[in-house]
Amino acid sequence: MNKEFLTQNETVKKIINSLYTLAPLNILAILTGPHYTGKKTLVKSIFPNYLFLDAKDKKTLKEALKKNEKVVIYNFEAIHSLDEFDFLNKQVIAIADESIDTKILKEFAFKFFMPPLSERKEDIKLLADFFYKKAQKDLDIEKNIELDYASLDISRNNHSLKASIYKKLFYNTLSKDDIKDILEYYFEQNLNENNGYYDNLDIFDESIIKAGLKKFKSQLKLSKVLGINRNTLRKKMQEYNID
Amino acid sequence: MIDFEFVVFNDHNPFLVFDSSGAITYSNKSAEYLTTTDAIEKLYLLALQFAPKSYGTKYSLVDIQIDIFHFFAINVLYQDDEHIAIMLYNKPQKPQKITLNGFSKSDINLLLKTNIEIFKMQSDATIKLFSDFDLPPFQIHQNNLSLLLQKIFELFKNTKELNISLQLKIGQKVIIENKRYSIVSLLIKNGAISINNEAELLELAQKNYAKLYINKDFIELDLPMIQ
Repeated sequence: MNKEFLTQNETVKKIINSLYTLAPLNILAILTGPHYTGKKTLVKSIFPNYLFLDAKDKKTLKEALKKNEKVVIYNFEAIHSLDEFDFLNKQVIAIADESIDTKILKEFAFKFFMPPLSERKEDIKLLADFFYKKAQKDLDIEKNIELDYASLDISRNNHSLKASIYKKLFYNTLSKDDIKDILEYYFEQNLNENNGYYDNLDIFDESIIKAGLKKFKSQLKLSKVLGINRNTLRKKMQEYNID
Repeated sequence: MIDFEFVVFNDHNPFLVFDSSGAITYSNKSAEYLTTTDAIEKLYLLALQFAPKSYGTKYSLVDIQIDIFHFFAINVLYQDDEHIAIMLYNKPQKPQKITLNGFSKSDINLLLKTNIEIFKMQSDATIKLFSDFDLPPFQIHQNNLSLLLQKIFELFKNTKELNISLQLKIGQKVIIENKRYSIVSLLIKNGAISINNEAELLELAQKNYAKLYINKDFIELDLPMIQ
């Protein structure tokens, strides 16, 4: 049974349907798109039994093409001439990033483009929930947190999305002692000989002020909560460029 | 005595005579294909444009395509003010050599259907397909033919309705390397076709040993059934 590729995006659904349709033909098809958009996972969900080959390893690729008629080749942007390889009478599903040579692209009968996550907002929640469950399992965390989907980092697609979820989940489970341990480890690695105390004071000061402003909104309230003078708070905010 | 009319009538190059109103008063056998189209007016204007300054003949090198016919030269003749004649010289075609690298015996219907399915995912056009499903498998370069079909379909991306037919051309053969092959003809019809990559399409057709005819409202692709 094929593992279903998670998507609610119409463009991606069309790519999936197209690739299924092409299965009986000996053609060259290519899926291009930005990094970490799930291109390889998508192709694997459709052709789980095909041989997956790395175009960067040309020697292995050439050998494998002698014996296999249906292959998936990833990192195809590493190939600059199709003549080097025997693609005749084969079904080749290529995967490449956007740096692929346009001359190479012209040889493909079927070309598909995987949109970045920023262009398929409907997939963010779907993938975030998937990564969240995975993170809970991987980190052995039972505690549930509420995800603010809009604040998740999608600048590097699935890669940054996944990382931001792991971070959020991890942060939510930290105890005071864990933070102390982390800081202890950090200082052990980074403490310099001069002014070590003052140079690292921002780790505490900046973080507590930023968090406090987010939570209590006003400087007046925060100065009371922190038990420091309002002028002192303002001075520190200027020092750390906090608006 | 030589019957010159017989010679002219059976000439391989089309020959037509117009009267002063542009109506055809004579056409030879080769020109019959041209007179069945709306090219008559175009040919008459062509004759006027390339006519000699005075009575006599004028031979001009041109590069003209009328429907599926290509010509490399014309000769315009007149002896009086009532008639003007034009002879169109067929462009010779390069003899083709077949190398079947990358070709395999394939089911043209499956290939066409798959290409239509892919096209349907990018277009809202209603597609009507009339196909001869009894066509036997023949040598096809599946990638190159798909490449051509996708390029052709792309021309119809914004079309509302598309009629596609795939049929054997009964009684017609194509000779390649002294061998005669039956022809499978793919006809794609709709309204007006706007095309800006004709050279690319013709090159792709050649890679498939196919003949591509681009008309203002249909595209025809003739494929030899190489076994």
